[in-house]
Amino acid sequence: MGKRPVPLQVFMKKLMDRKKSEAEAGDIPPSPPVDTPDLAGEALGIPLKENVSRIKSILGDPGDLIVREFWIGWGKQVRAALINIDGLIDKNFAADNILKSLMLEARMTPPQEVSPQDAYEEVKDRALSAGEVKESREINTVIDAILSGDSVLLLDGFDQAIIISTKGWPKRSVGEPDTDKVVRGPREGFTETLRDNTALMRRKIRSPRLRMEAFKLGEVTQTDVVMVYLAGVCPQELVAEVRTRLKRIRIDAILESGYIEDFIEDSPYSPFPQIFHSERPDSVAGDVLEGRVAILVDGTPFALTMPISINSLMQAPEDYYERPHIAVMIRSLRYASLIISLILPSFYIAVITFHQEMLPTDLIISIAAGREGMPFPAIVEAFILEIALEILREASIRLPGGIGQPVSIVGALILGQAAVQAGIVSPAMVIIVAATAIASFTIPSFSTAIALRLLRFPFMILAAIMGMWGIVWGLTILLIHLTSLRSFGLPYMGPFAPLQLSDMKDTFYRLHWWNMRTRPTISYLNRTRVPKDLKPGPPPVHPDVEQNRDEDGPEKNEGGGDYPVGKD
Amino acid sequence: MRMDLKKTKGVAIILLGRISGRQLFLLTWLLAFATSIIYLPAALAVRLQQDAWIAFLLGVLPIIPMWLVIIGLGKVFPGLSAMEWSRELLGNTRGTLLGLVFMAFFTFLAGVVVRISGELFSIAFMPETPLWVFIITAVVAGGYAAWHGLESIARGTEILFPFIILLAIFQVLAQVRNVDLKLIEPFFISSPARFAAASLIPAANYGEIVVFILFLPSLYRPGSGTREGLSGTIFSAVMLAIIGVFMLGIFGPAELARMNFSGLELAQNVRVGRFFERLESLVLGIWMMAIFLKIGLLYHGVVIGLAEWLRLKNYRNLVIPVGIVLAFTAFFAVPNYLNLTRFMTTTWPFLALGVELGLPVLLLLLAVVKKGRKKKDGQTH
Repeated sequence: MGKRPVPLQVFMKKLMDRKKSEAEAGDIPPSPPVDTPDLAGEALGIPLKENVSRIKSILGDPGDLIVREFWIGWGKQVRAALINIDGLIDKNFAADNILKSLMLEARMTPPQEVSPQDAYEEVKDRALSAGEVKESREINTVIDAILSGDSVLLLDGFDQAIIISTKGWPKRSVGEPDTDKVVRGPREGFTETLRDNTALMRRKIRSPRLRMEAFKLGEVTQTDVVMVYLAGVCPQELVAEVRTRLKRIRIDAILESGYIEDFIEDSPYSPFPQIFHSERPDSVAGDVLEGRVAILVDGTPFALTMPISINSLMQAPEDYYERPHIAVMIRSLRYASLIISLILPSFYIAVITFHQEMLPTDLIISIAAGREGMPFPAIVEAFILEIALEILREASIRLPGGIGQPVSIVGALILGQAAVQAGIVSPAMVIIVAATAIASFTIPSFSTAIALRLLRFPFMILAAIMGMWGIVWGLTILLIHLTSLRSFGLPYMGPFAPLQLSDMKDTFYRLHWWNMRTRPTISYLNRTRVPKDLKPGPPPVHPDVEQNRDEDGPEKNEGGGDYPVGKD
Repeated sequence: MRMDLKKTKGVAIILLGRISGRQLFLLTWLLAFATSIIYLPAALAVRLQQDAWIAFLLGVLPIIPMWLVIIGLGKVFPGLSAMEWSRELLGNTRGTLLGLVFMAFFTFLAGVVVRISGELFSIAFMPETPLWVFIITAVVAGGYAAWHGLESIARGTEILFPFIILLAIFQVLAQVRNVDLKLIEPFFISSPARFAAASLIPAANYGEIVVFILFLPSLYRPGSGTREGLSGTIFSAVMLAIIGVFMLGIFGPAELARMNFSGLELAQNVRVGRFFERLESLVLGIWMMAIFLKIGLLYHGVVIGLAEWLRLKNYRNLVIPVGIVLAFTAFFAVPNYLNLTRFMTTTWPFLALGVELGLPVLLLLLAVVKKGRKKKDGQTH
């Protein structure tokens, strides 16, 4: 009896043993990078052959490495090698400005006498016609330059390399972003190339105070990351905080800005995004001008901006370009949709299950008629529909446009209609779920919509168990969670709680630009944005015109309007 | 990781984890308003008939000295917590004992609020759900708020406040034609003694603001706050008085006196057109969030006070044990709702005002005397 251990016990024992051995071994040491020798601080050698073969062996002599050895134009005195990677360089540029100038044009202007000692200076200062040139003695820098698309020129007898910028790889041109479409506003979006993106930012903000701080993140990928901010508007404490958080990152690869977002946000377990992302230079530039920090990452068109509040997630670029009146309506609608997409299904479940008296009698009768013969309680119905909707959404999101549409039509119309006719779900529930889905599409920030989509399910369960009490209970927890959340130290529910009256001008409504006189509170340094008394209006009536009108009547005033007409 | 932007006032309030004057106003309002609308109007209608609404206003009078005393204590001991200065003032043993009295008071108060909210929902909407479900969920919600602290509760109140005000305005507009002002005439039919006795009931309710004695170091500017706190109390008193007028004008004093949940009955009475009717679960929903926040505030007070009492560095470990005590208090302190309201409107006001007003006044007197003596000593030396 009890001699044979139960399988679960065996498993637990194994688990405990493993844990113990792990604990004895101490913390797992960081795994060293695979077979890449540590090159830090190593210098180039003097003979050319040795340098070239060293670089080849470090890179593993790949097929796309081009090593061109040649004599510098003025006779067979100086042997040189140009090393770069095929595909990462602009070949025309390299041919015209490096090879041609060193091999052909150098011959036309030979130096008086080339001693081997002067050859390096001679090449760098006279013969080479490329624009952006750096020098380095370190093999590490040379390898890094080759891998980022620069060309490296090595001269025989010198332990110094000339690094020539020849970057030019196949890339997508600047186009309209697929997310964040606007009816009115600039149509350009960020691309996958960091340099293009920084250029787009510079094109928007032509100020010497626009600062760009470069980082290299990802131990293997060596991804370029740039922190952008506006000095004098963005608080230095914020910049320092973002900088420390970026420097903390230790990972092998950064393939998208989402990796960075995961590392630097305040509350990683919250479903709500605490960092905003956008593909639109105008929206990022707007954030930077408000005193926020933006992070551009090489290899992705999505830039991050921080700190944000729930209010920034509800703003769309168009709100600022169109007349403010419509922004009032649209933003209020978005806030309403936020609430609808969170609690409408659970509210319906609570009403149907517990609080039928809340509905007008006629409506409850028709809903009850629709639910007649329904095998499932409201919560099961809601889950069937919501999950079907999520599957449909997931199915259609990755399909090409031509197939995606039929799929959604089949899913939405045929499946929904059939499900109602078959008596699996009630028509009212279809309406509710559809309305919820549509409401969630109006939220400009996709990641906020995702958070609400996730939270909808626990709310539905709460409503099914405890009705209104459950919903209210969930809302209280959510409220406390949101008010305790911070994004880079700033309260997430701002400017509503804590109430910042000066920031309310850009929330449910937006004032005219001439009336938005201050920046948001984040930029406490330099808050004034627009001077006083810029309200536009018709020009003042000229006294002469007034006089003419009084004496001779309006017909004499040939110029028309209120503008004074020239006397001569 | 919290940024420390101390340079401007506006940013500092946000970042230092303190509450501003506006938030003090809102929290005071929350404390006084959230639960009293449930059972107070009926209890007052029993005692004062059509003058019940006046008692809501008279109840403010004892609160004026209370605020002065509480804020005064903060001025006398700037930066010190209640437990620290009571030990300093009364000596270690007696100070500790006094702390225990306050903790017991707040625990009981929070338990009562939990019980009332649970009773309200279980009697009015879900009679088949056992009471302990409501009690445990309410304690969990309050505990979550208490864990996140005063700042979060204050901000939550800031979000909730406009909704409650909108709802109140909606109620007023929807019901104003049902109000028969003849029902509340003539004024002042009861004797002054009866008025005084009856207005102690709302006064004890407003006096729950004594919990701020524990949050004094959290005030943005120690020593200020009398104006904000007092206006919060007055604001909720005026709101309650208006609601009282509505209840009396709609139901009449005799019917109101028989009601268990007068606030709920008022909400049930709403009828706009033929389609907006019986919105009480919606009204009660938003109102219940306010009650949850109130539970959170009192709960946080208990936890903070206990952490200081036990000289702990982190209050968060206490949230779960205190929550268990709270749930038991809520469940076992009173046998049923009727007993609870009877107790809360007869014995409780005297007991509560003793702790809320009597103890702080004594403490302040003692502090002033001690300080004066110290000064004298300083002068003679």
